[in-house]
Amino acid sequence: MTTYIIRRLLLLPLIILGVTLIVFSMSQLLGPLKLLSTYVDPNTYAKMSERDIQILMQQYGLTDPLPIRYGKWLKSLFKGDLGWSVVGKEPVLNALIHRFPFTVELALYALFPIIGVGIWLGVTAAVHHNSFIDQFIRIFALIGWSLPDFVWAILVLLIFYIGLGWFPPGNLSIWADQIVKSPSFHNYTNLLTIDALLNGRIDIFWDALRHIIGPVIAISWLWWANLLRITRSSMLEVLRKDYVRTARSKGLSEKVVINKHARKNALIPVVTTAGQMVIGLLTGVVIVEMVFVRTGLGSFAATAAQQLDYASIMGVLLFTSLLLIIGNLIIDISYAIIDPRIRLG
Amino acid sequence: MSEEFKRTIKRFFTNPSAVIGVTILIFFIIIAIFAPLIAPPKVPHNRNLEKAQDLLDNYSEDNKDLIILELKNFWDDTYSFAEDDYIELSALMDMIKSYQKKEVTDEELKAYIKELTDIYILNEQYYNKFDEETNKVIKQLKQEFVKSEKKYKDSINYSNMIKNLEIMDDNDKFIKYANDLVDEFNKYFKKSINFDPFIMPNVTTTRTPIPPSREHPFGIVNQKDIFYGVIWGTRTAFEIGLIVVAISTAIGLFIGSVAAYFGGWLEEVLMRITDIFMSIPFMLAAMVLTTILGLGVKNMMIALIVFGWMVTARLIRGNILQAKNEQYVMAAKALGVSDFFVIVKHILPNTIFPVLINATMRIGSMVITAAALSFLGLGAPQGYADWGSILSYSRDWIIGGTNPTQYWFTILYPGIAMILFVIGWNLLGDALRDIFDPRMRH
Repeated sequence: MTTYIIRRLLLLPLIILGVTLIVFSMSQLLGPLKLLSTYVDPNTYAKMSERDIQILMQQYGLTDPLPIRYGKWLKSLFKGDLGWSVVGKEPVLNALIHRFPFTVELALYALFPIIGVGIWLGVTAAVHHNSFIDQFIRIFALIGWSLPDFVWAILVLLIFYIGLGWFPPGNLSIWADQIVKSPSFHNYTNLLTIDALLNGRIDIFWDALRHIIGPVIAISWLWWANLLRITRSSMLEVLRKDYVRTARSKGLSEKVVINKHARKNALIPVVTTAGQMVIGLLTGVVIVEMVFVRTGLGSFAATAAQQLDYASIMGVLLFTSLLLIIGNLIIDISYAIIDPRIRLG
Repeated sequence: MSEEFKRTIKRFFTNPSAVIGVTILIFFIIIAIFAPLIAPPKVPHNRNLEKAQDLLDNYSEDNKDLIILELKNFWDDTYSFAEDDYIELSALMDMIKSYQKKEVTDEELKAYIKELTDIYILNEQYYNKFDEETNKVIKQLKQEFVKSEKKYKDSINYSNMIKNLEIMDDNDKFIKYANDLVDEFNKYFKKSINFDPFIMPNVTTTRTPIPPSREHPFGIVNQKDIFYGVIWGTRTAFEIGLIVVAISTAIGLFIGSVAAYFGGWLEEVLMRITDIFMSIPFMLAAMVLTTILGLGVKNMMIALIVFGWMVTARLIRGNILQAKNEQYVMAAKALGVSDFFVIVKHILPNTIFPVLINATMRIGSMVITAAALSFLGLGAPQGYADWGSILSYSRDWIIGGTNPTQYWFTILYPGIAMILFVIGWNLLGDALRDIFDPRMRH
């Protein structure tokens, strides 16, 4: 297993380099003039003659051969220079850093209900295999799996905001937003709910929470479906194992068999799915953030794409890829640690 | 083989989710095939030709002059500039010839192209692109010339035919002759307006959604008939789902099997490339590539294919490696069965099915991703018959409207179509997995 971990760590820089190469190649499809727009405000050169534009391109190295440009681009990446974000009106890196906490907060609040309910549903379905409950949960999973997230997100907004008035869109109400932006409010973690508690403002905490529940409901169904499918099939497999039969024939109660013998072993493959879910939540919940008008990585990427802000979308792509690579590494290593039967690599 | 095949078919048709899934999909296939009959596209008609046709159908001798007048008017609208265009373009051709002999400079030729652009004979793209792609532009200009030559010849031909009509006395002959001419003009007209049934026509002048009525059973949103969009959107969904999954699966199969077959450093390189592509979040990557390539269904499909082949590659490689070490394969080899026979008879059937099942299940999610991109305004262009686009219109009314529940129909019908379509593929994929998964066999 140590060799496996070392191998994975050695491959890490290679994978990251490969990702930068892909992102760079994609940016080269833009052509020189659009690439120039990622460095300079297009209005400044709109009235320039072609020769002046050529000189401008030379200044930014856009006329250099490809490998040299890739080298220069990598160098600026290492310095943290991802270009200027038109949408964020600040450097792309700062825009990413400002928006990431909102995505993290949403992911944190989505995590526990999804994992808790998802696993519970999966185990229940497997225990009552082929019964009415099982069929019902399977249909629930099928619909969640097939439901386009934007349709479901609109329905959630329609029911819980417009119908019931419980969970409004956005990050905060206007009054709360003003307080949060005022100098008397200290940002310790940049996570709204936690900062509100640390500042002793229960009212702002409730307001932030109210705004986060809608998106959580909108995200949950798809992941419930994912998680409960994996849990169910893994649990069914374990329930057929000899040691479960032994436990039953020993005369142990069904509850003990399921809770002690079966469930723990069945949850091993679930770890991977749960990990992938965390990565999925962190690398951008594009649709839900857009429908609920929330600040975050996903809505940043979508708005940037709509406004053809190339520097920003490249930045988001690089940042989220990095998250994905590190996240997958952690999942694979912890999987290898949890399950000693697996000899990977 | 046939016994095994029969058993599989039986298992398939006794599996409820397979039957439901296939039923749903057949339903959508029928809708897609008969879309032109279910929601006939309104092909625009030329007013002159329509009138002429009308008069011809209720022919009386008094109308003869009127018919000829309508045909003449059509000729005037369509062909009156054909001669001028032809003369100007043949002058341009002469100039290009001397340009290629270096007798005329770049600037002179460009100036003449500009002149033709200013009097609307040429599209401005030729002038704009002349410096960048001179040879390509010259080639295209030559095609323009050939076209205008044909149009000029047609114009003479048709004007003679109209003159013939004027001096024709025999009524039966006149009707037949005039009908043929109207048909031919209609054909030309349809060709010239570039009609695309996938572009939803505007059916009202008000922008507010209009509830379902007899003529528009699903209602109207943003001036578009939702029924028309849902029906033609079925074709879009099949097109995107099937083409994207077929091509990306083929790429994955190629890369995965080459890696497994050749092994060594080639396998290492190919699988690391696969890893790298898998390290980029799929939805964001597709979004960025579509944005860079530009709006449009084709570009969206390219983006989905570029980032959609990796799972297949990993799957087929793993399966082939596993199959190579199976006892039945080793036994077959030990018995002296040829490599080709081993691959076709033993390895392929056991490795291809998981790939096909995976492909079936991916179709639904690809259609969702494509619709999500259209929903964000990054996929299908404005007015394209696509479920995601219609749903994005409905979002504006439901979230921004004053009394959103009155616009329920804008989300209900395209939403249901979309969900059913995806459920159909997922049920089929689920059922196939159950049927072919050896662990499920009793």
